[in-house]
Parts: sequence; C-alpha cells; structure tokens
Amino acid sequence: MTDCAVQLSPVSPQEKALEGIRSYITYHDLKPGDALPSERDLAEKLGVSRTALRGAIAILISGFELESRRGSGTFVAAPPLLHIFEETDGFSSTAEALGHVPGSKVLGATLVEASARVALRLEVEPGTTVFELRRIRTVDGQVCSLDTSWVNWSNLPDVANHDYAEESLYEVLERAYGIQAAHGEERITITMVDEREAELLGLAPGDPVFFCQAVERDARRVPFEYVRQLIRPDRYHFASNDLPTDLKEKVGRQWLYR
Amino acid sequence: MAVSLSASDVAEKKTPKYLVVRRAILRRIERGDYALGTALPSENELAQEFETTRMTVRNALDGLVDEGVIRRIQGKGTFIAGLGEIANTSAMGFREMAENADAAPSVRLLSRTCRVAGPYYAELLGIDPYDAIFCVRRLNSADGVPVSIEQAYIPLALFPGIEDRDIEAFSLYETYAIYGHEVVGTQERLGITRLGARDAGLLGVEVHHPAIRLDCKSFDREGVTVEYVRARMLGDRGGYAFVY
Repeated sequence: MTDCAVQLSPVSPQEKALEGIRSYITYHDLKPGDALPSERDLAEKLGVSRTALRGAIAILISGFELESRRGSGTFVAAPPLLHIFEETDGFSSTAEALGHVPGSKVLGATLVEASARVALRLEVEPGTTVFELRRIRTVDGQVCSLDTSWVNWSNLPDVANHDYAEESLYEVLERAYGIQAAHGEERITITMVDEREAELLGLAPGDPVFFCQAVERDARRVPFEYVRQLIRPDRYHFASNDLPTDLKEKVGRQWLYR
Repeated sequence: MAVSLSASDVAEKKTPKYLVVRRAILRRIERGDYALGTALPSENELAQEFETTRMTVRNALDGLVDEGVIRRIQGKGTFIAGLGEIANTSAMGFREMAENADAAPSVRLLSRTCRVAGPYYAELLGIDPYDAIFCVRRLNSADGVPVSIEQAYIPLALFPGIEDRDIEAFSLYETYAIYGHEVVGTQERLGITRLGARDAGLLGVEVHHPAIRLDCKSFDREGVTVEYVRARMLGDRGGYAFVY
C-alpha cells in the first residue's frame, strides 16, 4: 500500500516507455524473434509519446534486448548465453549446460616466450617458454569469443601436441596431467575491438565487447593458465548467484535470464 | 650547460630506441599524463618528440598494443586502454571496492525520490505494482574521477521512513540492517549498454559511449528482495572480479 505521507514523483516519459516495453514483453510472453507492435500502436498502449518510445527502443537495442531489422520493425532479441559463475566453470560447460554445442577454431598453437604480462600472471620469469593457444569459440556454429590462452609449458611437454579444434584444453590438462582448476580469478571489463578483432568476431571496429582475463590455479594454487577473451555481448553474458545455500531454491534466479 | 648522465641515462644508451620510447610512454600512462580513454598523440608527433622515425614509434607502440595498454581503433587513433589492473567492484559495495583499489572513494547523491513501483519494478522486487518505492541515484568516484552511476530501487513498505534518513552518513546496506533486513546474499547480472546524454555527461564521456551494466538484487535472511540496483560503469575505470 502507498503511504499517503510520502511525496510521489512522476516517472520520466523515457523511463515509463522503457519499463512499459519490458513489461509488455513479459505480460504478452513474447519470445525471441517475436515482433513488437508498430510504433504508433505501442506508444498508444503504453501511454507515451513516439519520441519517448523511440528513445527507449534505442536503449534496449544497445543492451541487446531488442533488435531492429530494417524495413520490418523491432523484434525481441535472442537472449545471450548466461554464464553463472557459481554454476559452470567455463565457456564449454556453460554452453553444454544450456543445451548448446560449443566449438573451437584454432588460429594458432605455438610455443612462445612469455611476455612480462603473461609471466606476471603465470608467476614465471619473463622469457620462459609457454604454450600459446589462440582460438575462436563458437556456440551452435556462431562466433562467440576470441580467446588467447597461455599455459605454463615447463611441466607439460606434450601440451602443444593436441588438436584443440577437437579437444578441450581443460580435458587435455586433466586427462594427461591430472591438472584441474581448483582456484582462480576472473576479471571482466569492456573494451572496443580493433579492426582485426572485429573481423574475427564478425563485428565493426570500435564495437564494445567484454574483455575477460582469468588465471586458473591448481589445488596447490599454482597458476597453470592465463587466458584473455574478447566476448560478443549479444551472445554471452555473465551473472553471479551468491546466495546462502538454503535461500537458493526459495529465491530462484529466473530474473537473471531476463 | 653541463649535462651529467644519470645511471638511468647510461642504461638507456644501451637500450634500443623503441624500448626507450615504449618505457617513456608507459611511464606517462602510469603517471596519468595520458589519461585513460583518451587518444595518444599521433605517431608523427611522437616521432618528432622523441627525435626518431615513425617506424621506431610504431615498433614501440606495437608492444603496448600487445600488452593491452593501448588500443588502435581504425580511423580513430590510438587510445589509452589502461594498465590491466582492474578494480574489484563485485557485490562488496562501491566504497569497499575503491578502498581495495587504493583509490579514495567518494559518493555524490544525485537524487532521492519516491514513486509508484509500476509493473516492471513490482515484478523485480516482488511487490504490488501500486506499492511505493524509494529511488536513490548516486555518482561514485575514485580519486575524484567519476567511475559509475548507481540507481537503487527500494521497497518503501520494508523501510518506512527511509526517505527521510541521512543515507550519506550510513551506507544503504547499513541502513537496511538498522531496519532488521541485513543483506546476506546477492544476485548480479553483467551486460553492456551505451550511455544516454545525462549519464555520459556525469561520467565525462561522449554520449553513446559503451558502459558496463550491472544489475544487482540484494536479499535478506528470509530471501526478501531489499533492493534492486542498476549501475553503469566505465570499462576503463572499473570492472568486475570473481575470485574462487
């Protein structure tokens, strides 16, 4: 109930349009690929001006919630794959857990000298030989991210002799060397892609992407992999579900999926 | 004027020119002479300044591109991308985050209003669409540089009178605990958006500049949603860390 003593402020027209579109999608149970009503109809239904509606649609397109197809209108966008940190531990397992097929295209797999930055993350001397694996990661055949991994090679002489288009790096590490990620840290921010990255990812130069850096450590906390990823934000998102165990079921997590 | 060579000058004499240029540029970025997100002088300008060729400057910059310190954007120039150490923002709250990153945090209250929840926030907060919510908008800065804008939506029914409290003296989490709704867990979602004119102005970047979007729900011991927060964060000034 509204407390009558509280002074209530009006909601701005654009905010009203934004909330209205999102609620409309939920209320009418619109699925990815479904079209929104025409601008005129929707503005009328939501009680906002067409200017406010257009502003809100632009915001939802830039957040990958809607997509516009020239000449045919505005549609609900396919939701990105959601990587929930507490539930899956990487790209392949996230895709598989959601019923999708992960794939890789190897761009390069070579032994290199660790740069200062790589050496720092792997806790080795700069110039130490490391295995560098550059891959395009796909989900159901669609390009999702551009990954570069550096693996501490000194204890894993055969790690370079695998076909990572067919095999998962983590499976090789576990099967051949008994190495499993027990600890790690993942840092996520955003950046803009340059021309080469844009081409590989199917984007335009300057488009924003997630920029993730992770260090994976074994049970003794020794780092074995440093990975940098550029991830398409329309195809892959991140979330955390940091609740006490006894609350997880009660609270649910449907809203994370949008 | 007599010129005495310092130890570092002697060391630099033996160092290839491109490394001297690379280190000089790196030092300027570290000192903040070249601010994050801004464009580097052109290769020609740098060549002139360091009295070398454009090829040498290009060689010097290539290393910094590989390290992710600078980024080349076709047709736009070379931009300072940061030193790679990303501040930890996670669920810990902005003040704590900035303290961890050794930066002096400051929070500016932009607005505090009450409104009717409406269907969208009612669903997110698990309340009735006609319930009132308290909205707090804040600008977070680290060392005086704006980093993020946070908008919190709080069900008034849980916190009667919160709209008249001094929320600058206590953090919102502290305030919830005073009401008996201590936050015990969060759910967060990370996305990308582009900034509108108002947010871009507050963060000191151009309109439509990309930003991290962080949506966060906080829960009390009973699993009741005590707040929903939507934050906009600049990528070169912040980020999100998950440690396990």
